Amino acid sequence: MIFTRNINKRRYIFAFVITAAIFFLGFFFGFLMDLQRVNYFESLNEIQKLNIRSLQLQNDLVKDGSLANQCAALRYMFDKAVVDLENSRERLDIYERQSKVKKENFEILKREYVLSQINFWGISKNLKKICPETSDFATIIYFYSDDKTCPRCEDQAIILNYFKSILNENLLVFSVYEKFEEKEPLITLLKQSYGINQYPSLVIEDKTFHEFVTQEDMRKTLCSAYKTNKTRDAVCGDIQ
Amino acid sequence: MIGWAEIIQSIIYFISLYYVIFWLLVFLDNEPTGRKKMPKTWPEVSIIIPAYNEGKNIASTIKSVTGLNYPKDRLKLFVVDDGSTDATFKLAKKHLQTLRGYKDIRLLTQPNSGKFAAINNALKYVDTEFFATLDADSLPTSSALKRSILSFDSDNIAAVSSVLKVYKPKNMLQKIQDFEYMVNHFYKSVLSRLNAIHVLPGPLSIYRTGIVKNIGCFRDAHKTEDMEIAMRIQKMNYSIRQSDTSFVYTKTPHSFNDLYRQRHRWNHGTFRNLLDYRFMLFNKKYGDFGVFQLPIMFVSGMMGVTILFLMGYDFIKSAIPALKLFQLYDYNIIEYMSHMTFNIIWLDLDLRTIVMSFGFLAISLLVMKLSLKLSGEKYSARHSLSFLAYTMFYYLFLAIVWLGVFKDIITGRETKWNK
Repeated sequence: MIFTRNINKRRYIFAFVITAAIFFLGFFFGFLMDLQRVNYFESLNEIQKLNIRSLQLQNDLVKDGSLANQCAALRYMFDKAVVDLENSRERLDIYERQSKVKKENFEILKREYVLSQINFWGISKNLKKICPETSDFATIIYFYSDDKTCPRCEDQAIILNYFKSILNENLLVFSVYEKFEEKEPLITLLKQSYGINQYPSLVIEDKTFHEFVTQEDMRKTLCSAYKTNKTRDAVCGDIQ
Repeated sequence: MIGWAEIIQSIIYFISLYYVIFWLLVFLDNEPTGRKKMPKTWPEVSIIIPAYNEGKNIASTIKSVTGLNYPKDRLKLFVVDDGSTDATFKLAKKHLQTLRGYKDIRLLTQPNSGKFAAINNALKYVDTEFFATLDADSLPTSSALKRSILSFDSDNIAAVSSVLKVYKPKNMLQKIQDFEYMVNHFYKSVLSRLNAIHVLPGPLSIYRTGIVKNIGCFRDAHKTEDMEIAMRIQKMNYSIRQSDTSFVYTKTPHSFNDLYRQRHRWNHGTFRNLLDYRFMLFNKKYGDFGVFQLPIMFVSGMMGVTILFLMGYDFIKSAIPALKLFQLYDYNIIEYMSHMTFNIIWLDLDLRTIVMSFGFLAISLLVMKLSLKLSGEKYSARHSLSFLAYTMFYYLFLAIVWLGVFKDIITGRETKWNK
């Protein structure tokens, strides 16, 4: 006697429906999560805008003498705001990578962060002028693009990370992503004023580098940027 | 936009989840079958013990046969020495001579020609309704044979396999295998309900002699004769069951190398046999075996290797920047570590991955609970540890084994018993 086989089609379909439902729930959950994250960054962005306004005001008041001898406090506030901004930007990058459905909202937020960075860069320049004794830091504007148009950008970012990890608040790196240039004329103006037309490009203090900057070259450039021995020792080592 | 790696990952997760849900539905839907009443007269059974260089184990295996709760006058014993180079023949002869009351006892010897040939050699003398194969490193419990025979509740059942358990698991690797065997018990119980069992392991599988002889006995089948015979039985549309209450203890590899070799041989045989029986894939004529079991066997190895590559790709992608940064520190680990500061952002894990991992963990826990219930075992700390190790590392290990298998298949390398 030969066994005849029957297939229970309903069971196959039922299993498929349950699996699809679990997957659908997963996508729905992901969508809600992205929405929550966008909302969170929008509120964070508002706080950061307030911080910038507050810093600008303090900056102006120190400059015209209304807040005399407050350079140390201003520097402290500035450093804190820069660190907050950098952390938020990094987190935004991570969330954008993880996001599957609300990418465009994250891009708008990233554009706002680029503007905030340029804003901070402006404040940092003023700070150096009005409080030179508390402002022994170097600034770098890093113009970068995606991996396809700029294969060396990743390596440049690693070198920047290296110096950032050594110098901490004594090095301020402001990253400007080429992708937002179309929508943000300020980036074009900045590029034009420094003659940037390729990636990676760096503006270290006021010196422009139109190519990849090696670890050694960057070390030498940064060495000449610091006034105090402490920060110079940290970055220059034997090459002083 | 979702990348190619995420699409592949999602497909693999979908298939895996679908199969587990299907198993659970089958398990909850069907009661195991099997005759409950004891027969007035137990059928005659021949027990075939093929042995190659089993000098260390043959005595205990013969002893375990004498411990079977089955009428001795209904049992015939065949020990086949497959050209051993150690004292297997001598020891088998010594221990068989002490046995009394059996219907027949034979010790056969042959030039080394493989396990399938050893079983076929004995089959020439088998005239009982059923026969059992018993690997020489296996020890059945006393009730195992009776319980397996009770599972032959229909004439179209060609074979019944027992439930394997690890004999005295000592090290962590054996404890993980112990857990794996317990999950396999559950998995094969599901397959049994679907008539989709694809392997009849050497440690105590019972066959209906007439059917096996009709379909042409055992074949070498890439050193996995136990799988090929099951596939051939399925091809002939007979039925294979697992007796959920027949337990056999088997000795398992205790080192990674030995385990790798064993699993390589099994998986290599699986893939080769699948290629030989590819006409059954997605073929409704073979029921759930063709539509459900063979396809998952076919893709599971590929899915494992794909996941392995994706993990490797992710790892390399994230490791390269860290290595480059390390290079900037002139590979000075102390300097590198001293500048590392803890950043809360590192904990910003992808919530989707976390939720999905917890989902799979929950399903794995459910399978573990059902496996324990089926095995009649109670939860203990031993299970937690082996469960964790099994869940976290075992599939990774199997994926590495599959990688080796595919490499051998591509290069046309055949497997050997010692591999």
